[in-house]
Amino acid sequence: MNRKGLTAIVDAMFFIALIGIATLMVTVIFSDNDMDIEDPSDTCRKLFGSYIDSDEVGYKGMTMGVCSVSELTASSILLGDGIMEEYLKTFLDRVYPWNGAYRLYAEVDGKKMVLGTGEGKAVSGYTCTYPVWYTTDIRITLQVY
Amino acid sequence: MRMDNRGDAGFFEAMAGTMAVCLVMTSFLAFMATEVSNTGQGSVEFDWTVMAGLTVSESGSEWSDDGTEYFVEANRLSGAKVVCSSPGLPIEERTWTCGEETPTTSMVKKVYSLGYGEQSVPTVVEVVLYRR
Repeated sequence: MNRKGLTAIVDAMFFIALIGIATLMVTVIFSDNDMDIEDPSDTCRKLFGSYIDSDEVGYKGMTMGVCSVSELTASSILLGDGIMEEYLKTFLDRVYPWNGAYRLYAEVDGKKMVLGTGEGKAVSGYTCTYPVWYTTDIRITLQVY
Repeated sequence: MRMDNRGDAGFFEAMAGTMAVCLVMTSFLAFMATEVSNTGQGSVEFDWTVMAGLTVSESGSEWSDDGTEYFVEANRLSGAKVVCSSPGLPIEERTWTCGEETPTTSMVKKVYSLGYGEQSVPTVVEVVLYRR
């Protein structure tokens, strides 16, 4: 093979590689499977504004009855029992199922709870406060990555 | 066509090369156009009003599936799957499907707070739309 033939083969291979990369990029950009990210403000309002039976999340025999998720979260943070941490993690993992998808901060009476492994610049976020009848308001921030 | 002693076919080789490049470029553009048109077809927004009347009980969420079926037909979709769950609570997960499953999907999700006795249960509704 002379030098001219070798140049033609290298040129052809370069062209094929270039087209391959372009095709891959188009496939990734116009991917067939779309997913809508649930708005964190909607998630926070619906989740923490709900009322659930405390028995069903793990407070068995504590006669707390039906309480708001925000109040149960406040109790859990103050008691340090991790029960609501488990419940909220199960729920949020379902809403935002990808790896490092979210981070939830909750603070009441100087005590904090952080959930999730999200890092970097958040795509969207929401902060809200809910009253807790026996202590200060609970401040909740949900960030989605 | 006659090659010289260095394997160069001159003008004919240049023509064949140009044609090969044009062929590959045309195939690539055709592929890209197909991808773009497919994506446009999938931009169907799910109408959440079809989930009106969604309720929850111990045996799971319940709703009228007529609206979802109508939505699938009206938007010329291949099918749909609806999954209702209350993660972390002892309430059964309910799945409802209609039509045919295809690999081309789009998924939407919404959090509801559904009345159940004295409770209002946080419920996740996931809708998978199968495009043709």
